[in-house]
Amino acid sequence: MSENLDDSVAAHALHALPEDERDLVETAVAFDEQLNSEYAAHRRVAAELVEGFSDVVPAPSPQLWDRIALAAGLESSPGLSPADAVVPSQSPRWRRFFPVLAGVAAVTVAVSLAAAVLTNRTEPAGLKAVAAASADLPGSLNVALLDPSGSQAAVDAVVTTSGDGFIDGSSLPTLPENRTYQLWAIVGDRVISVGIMGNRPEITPFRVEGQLAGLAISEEILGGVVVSEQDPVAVWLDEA
Amino acid sequence: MTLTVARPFETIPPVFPSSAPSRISESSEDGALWSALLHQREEALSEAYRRFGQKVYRTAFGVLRRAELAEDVTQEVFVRIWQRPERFDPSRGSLSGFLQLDAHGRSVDVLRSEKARADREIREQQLSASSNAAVSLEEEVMKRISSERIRDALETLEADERLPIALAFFQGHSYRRVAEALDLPEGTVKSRIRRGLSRLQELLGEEILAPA
Repeated sequence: MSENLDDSVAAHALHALPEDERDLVETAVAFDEQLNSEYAAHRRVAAELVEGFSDVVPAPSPQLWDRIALAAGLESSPGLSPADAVVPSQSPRWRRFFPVLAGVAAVTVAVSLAAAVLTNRTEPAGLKAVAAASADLPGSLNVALLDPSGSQAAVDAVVTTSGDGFIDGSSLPTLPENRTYQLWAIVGDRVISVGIMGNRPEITPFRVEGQLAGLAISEEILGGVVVSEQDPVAVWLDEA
Repeated sequence: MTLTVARPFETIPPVFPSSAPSRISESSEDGALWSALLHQREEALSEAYRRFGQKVYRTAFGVLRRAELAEDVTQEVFVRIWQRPERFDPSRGSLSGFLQLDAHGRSVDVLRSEKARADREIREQQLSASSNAAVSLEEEVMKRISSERIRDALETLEADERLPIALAFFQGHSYRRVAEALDLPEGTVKSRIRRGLSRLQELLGEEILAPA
């Protein structure tokens, strides 16, 4: 065992190795018992050091748990009280895009986990056929979400009279793995998350209950958010 | 299903027995919580967040100094333990330590990433300005450490061991950057980190550092 590798193991325990050196050290640690033991000892010291970070930090957003529950795909929000189910309004930036929201003091945002889960588990090819058939149904609403800056192609969506919708995000540029597109519906005075579209979206199903006044897509962190702080990348508003 | 709740950590009611300070009870609680995570019991994740969320966030914020990035890292840490709970080995330490170290590692990655480049460049300029700047940076880092026990232990180290550890761990610099800043050979920095960690293991006490 080289002295240098021992030293690298110590640096790795502190996360002080550059990325290009980590694989080598991790492999060595996995196969060399002595190195493994030394690494574990250094990690225990690091786990003590981490307690040294100051307690004086700003409080995290109250929505952080919601984000985690959503990203983890939890089917419920265990340990949490539905009675507290009030979330602040969408950020003022969104109001520029949704005049219907202007003047609304507090907007309740509902996140449809079911839609998010469905999005991840549905087979795209079959969806295309269902989406196409839905577009032809009597009374279906066929709309195009436009990029407010005008730099991207339109995103087509269809919503049937029963509230089942499909959106074709294939014209959207691919995002990094840690980002996702998120679909929002405006129903009355509420902005509702109706689906996580992924970083390379194709056809995403969603469901809307109530009078649909608009649709929007935002780019968010993987897992989505409860309240978006981003400008929408594509918007459709019912002008009627 | 509607999921719309604003809640600080302390408002999430406990699901498992908790808040006992001793290492022994911490270890058995960790075991129960970990087992529940392995069995994908959803209440286990909320309990883990209730118990360790503040610490994980504090660690991420300590490295990143930006709330939104610290929240991203906190989210990632809890999603990762949910998706791959087997990554935690109870024989190697506490769940709290594991999650915090995971947060530290991810925070360091974020800090070094493109996203944080601007902030990073500013810090690196400060770090590279002169050896005096590096020393004052160390002083600044030491001031940020709230735990007297950790600060005392670090201050007991020789300066040539303390400085590389402080800059690497508490500022998130790679050993190469530390070497550059201190104008030392890279190998020297790594060996000082190793020596310092070994000293810290003695200073902080084997009984505390022993596997759970």
